[in-house]
Amino acid sequence: MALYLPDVLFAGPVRTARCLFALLLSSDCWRSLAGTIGQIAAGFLLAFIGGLVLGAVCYRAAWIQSLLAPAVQIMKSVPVACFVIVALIWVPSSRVAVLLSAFVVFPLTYQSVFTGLSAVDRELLEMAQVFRMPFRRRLRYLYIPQLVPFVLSSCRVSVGMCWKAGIAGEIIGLPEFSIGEQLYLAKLYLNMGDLFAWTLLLIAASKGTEQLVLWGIDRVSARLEAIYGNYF
Amino acid sequence: MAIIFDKVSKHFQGRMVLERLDWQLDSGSRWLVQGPSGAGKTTLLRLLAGLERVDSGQILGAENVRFSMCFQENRLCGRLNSIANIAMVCPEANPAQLREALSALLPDEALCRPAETLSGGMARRTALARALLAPSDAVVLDEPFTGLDEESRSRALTFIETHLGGRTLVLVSHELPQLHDAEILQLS
Repeated sequence: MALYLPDVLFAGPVRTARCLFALLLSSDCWRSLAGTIGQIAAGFLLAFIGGLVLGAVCYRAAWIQSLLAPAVQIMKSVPVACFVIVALIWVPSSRVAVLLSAFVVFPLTYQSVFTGLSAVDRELLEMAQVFRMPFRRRLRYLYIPQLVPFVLSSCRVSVGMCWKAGIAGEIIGLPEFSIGEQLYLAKLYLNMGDLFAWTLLLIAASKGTEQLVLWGIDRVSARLEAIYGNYF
Repeated sequence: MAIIFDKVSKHFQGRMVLERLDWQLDSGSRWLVQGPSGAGKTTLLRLLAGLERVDSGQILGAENVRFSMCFQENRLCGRLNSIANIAMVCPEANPAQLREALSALLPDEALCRPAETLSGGMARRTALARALLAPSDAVVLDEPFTGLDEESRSRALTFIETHLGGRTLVLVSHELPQLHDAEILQLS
């Protein structure tokens, strides 16, 4: 394809590799990568913590859950592209990526926490009530082991989605030193070599952070398994 | 301190299972609750342990009593082994002491297996041990001998006598176990 299409439409593997090599040698590349990872990590953490807290609160108070249900439903069904417009009004354009990342992660985490807690065995909770188990012990023995598989599975999905939404937000918000900004500039100058090289970097970064998060989750899971599965 | 049931009534699934029951449990007393299926034995225990509310009448003196209970179901954490299931409700217990106490009821190889892999009888004995080893003022046992053979039942009874101490005991059983100084509450 590279032989037949002009440079402004397509970059072949050799040109892409050259551009990638040049990018990796520039300090701007690493600053952009770090900037994007920072934005996406901020959005992910914000939504993850918010989802954990609100999922737990809603489990305890059904009225709050009813109150939040429409908002969560909207977050689940509104396309990210529609939300971008609102986000541009709500926050500075350089922070749109953070908000968009949080927008896709929150409902997944919230729902997994709420469903996980709702699945805790009622009979065990009654047992804990009779034996007057303090909350910390209920949390450790009854709630957390039940919750972990739900949160793990939601994380597996949300990390990838968080990257997609975050980059979309960056391309629109154009924060300084971000992959989104670099992709936009490459498109503006019709520099397909850079565009493909940045896309490759993006895929690698997305996969790398996904692996990192899953590795972290697996570590936590293995640790919990050791505590709860092989007690004594 | 005594627990007093004062004209307690309770409906269950549209049917009156306890009607104006008067009952006094003195501290340290032992009770065998008997009656046909559906007579309200389990409901009575659930009321006693604070898991159900009375429809009418009142239960006095139960609010400050710490209960430990062997439910009709075993209610064990399947992923935890027998010792951990008991340690869960005995925050100050020493694992070595629990192991020693449990070995009177369970074979050694069963102590460290997840509860979900135990046989019905082993799980039942674990649930019974949990009720007796947990710190409490009153022990409530709902059909604790279900699924136990003659020898296991005899061991379980010895375990109850050994670990009950001076605590109040309420035991629901279809059989008549040989409990010392036990009074009988007959429900119809």
